[in-house]
Amino acid sequence: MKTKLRFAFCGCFLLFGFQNFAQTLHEKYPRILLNEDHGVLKEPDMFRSDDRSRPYTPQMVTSFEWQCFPIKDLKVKYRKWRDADGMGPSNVIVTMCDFDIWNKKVTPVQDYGGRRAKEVTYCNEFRAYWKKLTKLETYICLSGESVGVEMEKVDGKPQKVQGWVWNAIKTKKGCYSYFDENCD
Amino acid sequence: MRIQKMRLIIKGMAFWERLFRFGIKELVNQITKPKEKSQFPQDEKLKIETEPNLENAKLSKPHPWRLCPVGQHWVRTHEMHTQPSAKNPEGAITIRNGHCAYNPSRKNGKTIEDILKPEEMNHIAATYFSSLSGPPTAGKLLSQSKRSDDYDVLIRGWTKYWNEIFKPREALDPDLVKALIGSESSFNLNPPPQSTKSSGKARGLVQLTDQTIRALSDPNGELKNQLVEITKAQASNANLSIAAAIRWLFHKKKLAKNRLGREATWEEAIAEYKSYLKDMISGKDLNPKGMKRIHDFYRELKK
Repeated sequence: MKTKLRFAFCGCFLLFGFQNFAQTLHEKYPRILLNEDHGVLKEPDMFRSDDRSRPYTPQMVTSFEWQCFPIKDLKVKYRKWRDADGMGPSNVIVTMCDFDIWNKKVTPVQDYGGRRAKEVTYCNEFRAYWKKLTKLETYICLSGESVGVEMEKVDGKPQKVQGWVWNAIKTKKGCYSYFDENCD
Repeated sequence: MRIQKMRLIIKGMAFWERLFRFGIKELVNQITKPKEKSQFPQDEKLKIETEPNLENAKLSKPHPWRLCPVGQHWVRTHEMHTQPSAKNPEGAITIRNGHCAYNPSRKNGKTIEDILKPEEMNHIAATYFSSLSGPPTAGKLLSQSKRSDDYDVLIRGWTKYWNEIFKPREALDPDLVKALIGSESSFNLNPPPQSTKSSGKARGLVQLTDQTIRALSDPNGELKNQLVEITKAQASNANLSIAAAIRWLFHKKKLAKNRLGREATWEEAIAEYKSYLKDMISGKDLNPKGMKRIHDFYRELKK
């Protein structure tokens, strides 16, 4: 009897242990990681530095969410213009820029934008990192803060667009973020 | 004898300089007024129990919360090293109590009417803000950040202060300031520096850049008045950065007005703050994500 119980206990332990091991990050953190990450993300990515001490609960509130997409489905659209930097002297005209990362292959269309426009060097730096991180990679994950879903004209057609303010981009090659804390 | 003559000449020059700067009436006031004994403890920290005795100047203070009259700024209690002299061969260290000092002049010789310094900003917040009530609305953005209500007292106080200083036709709404902070830093008091080194490090809740900090306190810069003097390190201080950011936002409203050729709305001032206004006016991007984030927060606060 004792041996049977031992076997049953070990069996249950192995089964639950395996299930836990086999659980993907998306299954474990469905509110933070909205789809499968294809091995790009790690558990610490699910928390901001100040949240890591808190145990995760399904009710836990986080302001950011991750989504992962095939790189070929994403397009980065840069905009440049000449103007004074809003956070600099008004009489010094510089080249300003902003960018949006679009995925028009999904519904609603996904659009990741910036927190504010910045000098063109910011976009150049982002472009260089994007190139470096996506080279020979298949999937990329984006962390962002939601700005809701709205009807917008995309390529001349009105479509539902899910807006985000981007925090970080990550591939198996590495990570790049607006604030350093979003990359590990 | 010669030294005495020189001293007399210097005193005379100082007299004429003050006469030129403040006019006869103010100068007579200053000379006839008995010298104030400081009421402040000799402490490194600013501990103000009562305001300085400034009866003559009370009416001309930039704001009732301020310690000094127009044209002067607050200097905290500090150590003063006196030069060695015959009487005191080794020199001495004395404590100079907190006092009002005259503001510096611009290159064109005009005195700056108002400079707000950190000690006074801390005094104002500590003395007056806790008793205020009203917006910004609490509890509405907690789903976005658990820190979202942490700065409400400071947002309320500084929005009221700058609204009373500038008296705009449409007062700045503290909820809009709260939404701006949320959109800039997600209410993270000290977000690590952005990865980009190129466009100037942005710091603190409102992501002030080094350039903004310089422009806010530059006596020969673009702010004609109401300068705010904080250091780069102090941009990570919630009280000082919120005070500075709202001052900058008022400046942006003025610049947006120049750009638009009409009175700018606060939303347009924020677009100017975030460098989106030109792009929005030209129709290239009518609703950038950085602005959408503010709208979202603001809508949520007003529900």
